[in-house]
Amino acid sequence: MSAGTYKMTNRIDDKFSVINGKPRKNLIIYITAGYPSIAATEKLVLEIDRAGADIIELGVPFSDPVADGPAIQESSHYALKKHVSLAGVFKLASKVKPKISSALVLMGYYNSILQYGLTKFAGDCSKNGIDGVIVPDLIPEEGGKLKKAAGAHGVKVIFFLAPTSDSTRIKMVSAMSEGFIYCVTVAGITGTRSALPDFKKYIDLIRRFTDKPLALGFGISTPGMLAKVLKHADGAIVGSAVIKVITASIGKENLPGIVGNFVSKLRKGICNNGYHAKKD
Amino acid sequence: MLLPDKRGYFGDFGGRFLPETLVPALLELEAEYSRAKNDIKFIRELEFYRKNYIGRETPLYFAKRLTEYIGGPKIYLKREDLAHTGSHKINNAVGQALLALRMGKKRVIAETGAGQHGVATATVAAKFGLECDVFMGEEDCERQALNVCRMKLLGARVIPVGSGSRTLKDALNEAFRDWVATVRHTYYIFGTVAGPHPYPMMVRDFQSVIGNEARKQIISMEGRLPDYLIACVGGGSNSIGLFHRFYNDRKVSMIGVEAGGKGINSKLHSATLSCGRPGVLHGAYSYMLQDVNGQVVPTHSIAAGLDYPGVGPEHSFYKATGRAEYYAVTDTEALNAYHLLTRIEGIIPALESSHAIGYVIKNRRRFRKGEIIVLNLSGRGDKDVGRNI
Ligand SMILES: Cc1ncc(COP(=O)(O)O)c(C=O)c1O
Repeated sequence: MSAGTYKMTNRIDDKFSVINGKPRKNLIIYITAGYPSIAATEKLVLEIDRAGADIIELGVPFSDPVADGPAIQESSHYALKKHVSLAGVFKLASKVKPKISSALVLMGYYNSILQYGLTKFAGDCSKNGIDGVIVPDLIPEEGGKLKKAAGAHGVKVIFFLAPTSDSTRIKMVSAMSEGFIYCVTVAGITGTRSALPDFKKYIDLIRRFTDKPLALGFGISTPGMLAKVLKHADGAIVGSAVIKVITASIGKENLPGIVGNFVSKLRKGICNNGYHAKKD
Repeated sequence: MLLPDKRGYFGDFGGRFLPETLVPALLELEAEYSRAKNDIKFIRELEFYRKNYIGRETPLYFAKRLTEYIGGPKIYLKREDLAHTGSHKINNAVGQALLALRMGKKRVIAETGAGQHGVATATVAAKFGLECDVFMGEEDCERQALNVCRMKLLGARVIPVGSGSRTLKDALNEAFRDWVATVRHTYYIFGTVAGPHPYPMMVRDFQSVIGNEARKQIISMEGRLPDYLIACVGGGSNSIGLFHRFYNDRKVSMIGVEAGGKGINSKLHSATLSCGRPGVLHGAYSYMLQDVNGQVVPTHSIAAGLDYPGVGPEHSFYKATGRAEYYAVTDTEALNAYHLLTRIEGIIPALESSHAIGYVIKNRRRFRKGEIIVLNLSGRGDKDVGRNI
């Protein structure tokens, strides 16, 4: 199917559909679009999908990614040197979407979207199979315009919560966020960490105010961490760890396979712990 | 009209665009600041340090020989170069350090370009016993080496930033990244009127002391308001500091001078308001230098403190409403002004401030005899000696 010709149903809700009274557990994989090339990203998406990701986040490279640590920063700059643009990412999305069962989400800084034009952006998301958008520098107070534009095209806008968020902000973010809520594990930027803080209380607090699915991200890099996270959360987001695997394998013929293997291992971590996480 | 509004907007510009993690800290800061500015104890304290530590008020100095040289308008220099540490940046650093103390923070961080804000922050940190880390682009560390020494001497840690263009923009990115992780115990002393709400408002308020004094001074010296206010614009704090008190004096023209680098058609400049368009950078919606895809473009200026692709939202508002005009002055024009002022007034200006002087020299025909100019001499030029002869 070519871009714009297929009717899209939003896959995010499906992914978090309720089984035995609880949302399914989701493995969410982040990669930077265009790292190390658009062609490579295309193969990576297919491989990551096959390896068992539920949602794939495509990072739109930005010159000044303040929420990101060194791994994603560098991947972003690398992609920018190759002139990867939002339009290019859309093209990539429309190509891969019909071939995968994962939901597809864009992660990009607000200025990229703003300069593209909110309405055009929302329309192109929908046309090219993007189910949702995550904007790390957009908070609910400023997110109304994007949400309205995206809503008109059935595209979800996912907002963030942080360990510093109090009950007022939890309520505000929960009311705004669609599909799921992106909960950052630690106050900090993206990047792998040797250990995760105790996030049970944080998750419990958020759950007091919302039924929306909660996905935890930042610092998650091993199957063990993933299992721990998914004991409490509905989704786990792995980004920098995947980028590091890509970085270590740039130039190797079987790059997609190596990354796919890494994702499979993460996937097994979930199944082994008995969660309803089977691929559909 | 009281701006910004509750959401931090000056007309269409401003707001808060940054990770959720930092929002609680900004809300807390906003609340603390609004308590402090109405607290007589805080007001007196600030007053005390302004007078006894910064050395305010700074003189409004009639530059007789510069006036003769230009041959038209009378030129007064607001001598922020005489403030403690050598620039206007200390006005803001003292105010925010007092806030940090009120909020019980033990560590402060700052970004710096020319090093003047870094030195000002290191100074107040030394004075109030706070741990201090300053982020500075590697290129700026080289070209403003004197200020790196001063910061270290003052006990601050200077963290060179090697990412991106290795200048002020990247120092800001790194400071934000630090702050996201340390926000519980760290106060970010932001150096200019950019950034997320409440910084543009708060830094403006602390810098408004410049215009408050200048307005009184010129009235007492000349018996009337000036015709022109002129100041250089990097992030925009010394200029807003001068302009703000005159906002309702509609007959007073305001001119902001940006860094034209090697010329505004060369792509090697930092003339954000002259050549940019609105977008979101470093927490606010404001003019910025960007490509068609919204990527921030590299900038250049001989003055590290002006070498920045963004600008404070209140300036964007002034531009959009026509309250102020913005022009660019090149590296060469600024350098000539630097030498000229040094030779005929015995005042070595910062390269940043030299842009404002350069504007007057370049556009001397715009001004008429009998007109009065108040020009903000935002800092002294010791830091620039030796690299531009
Ligand atoms: C002396 C001096 N003037 C001006 C500036 C530019 O900043 P702003 O536009 O915020 O006054 C700087 C910044 O470092 C400076 O050191």
